[in-house]
Amino acid sequence: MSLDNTPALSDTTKEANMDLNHELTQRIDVLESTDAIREVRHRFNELLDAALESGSDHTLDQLVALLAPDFRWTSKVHGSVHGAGAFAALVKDRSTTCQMSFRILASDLHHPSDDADRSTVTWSSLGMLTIDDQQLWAAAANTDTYARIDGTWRIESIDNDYKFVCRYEEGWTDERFVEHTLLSRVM
Amino acid sequence: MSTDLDKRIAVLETKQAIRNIVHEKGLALDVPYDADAIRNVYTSDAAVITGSFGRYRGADQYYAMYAQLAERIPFTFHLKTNGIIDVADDGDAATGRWFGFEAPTVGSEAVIGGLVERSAYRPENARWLISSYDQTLKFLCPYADGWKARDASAGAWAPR
Repeated sequence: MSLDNTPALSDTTKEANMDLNHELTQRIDVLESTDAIREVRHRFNELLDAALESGSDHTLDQLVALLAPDFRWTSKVHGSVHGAGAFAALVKDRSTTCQMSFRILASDLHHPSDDADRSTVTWSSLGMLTIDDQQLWAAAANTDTYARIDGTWRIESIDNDYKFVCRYEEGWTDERFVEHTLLSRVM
Repeated sequence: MSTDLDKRIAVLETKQAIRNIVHEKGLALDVPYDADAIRNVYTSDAAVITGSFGRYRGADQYYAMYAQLAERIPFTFHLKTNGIIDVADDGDAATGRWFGFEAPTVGSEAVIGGLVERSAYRPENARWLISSYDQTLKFLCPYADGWKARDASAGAWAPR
């Protein structure tokens, strides 16, 4: 008998409540993970822009902290860069010729996953860059993978499918891509 | 429902309410500059810091600034992306960072701009509103020139 006036719950009711609690916890976790993944990618973008403009080691350290150790950055332009350290070195190198980097990210599509600790997301991005004194538009479709490591979502890979990287003054109609020397400086 | 689940849902709801108010402001900016609608997204004592466009505190000051912009800018298009929102542990305040892209017509000149925004939010009359807004321009330049011109013209476009 309970000590207050609340009727004691039957075992069946208790079990049903626990099941509901468990299900709600899982559903909230999916929403929180979606939000955390979106924000870690936005943070990555912010720091990538800052690192490309400054070459600051402190900013690069902050950037690397968002990545899984075996992070991969791939594109037809860059091939595959494997490892968070190698990626940081690439950014550091590209920062020597980047005067301005500003990229907006939109249209995130979170693909269903059976694994609560892994996720694949596609994005569209539009970059406004100045490299070697040349202002460029850079549009890409990105396919990212994310992993939850020790409770924190980190970026495992980013694949860049560039749609156009063109001179601001010329646009993307005649030539969607600038010459390789300049293109290879774009991130 | 447990207190923990209740708190976690409250954070998700707060973040969505903040996204809504940020995008509501974007729509009001694109009327363009509907000062009455914009006043509804800020707290009454909000600080609005717009770099070379000046600093404004309180409804009277920022209302006048936006109303003045409306007279000189016949068209605007704003995007707000890359949002990161942090809700305080007590759930009563939040901060956010966004990227902004805009393509207004200033006078008769096409202009493009990119900026980074840092804002704070708190509830007022049971609605989450913007309590401070601080923008740092990445560039604001005539479309004909591109962003290498950075904000060379921004001072000339500022409200007077």
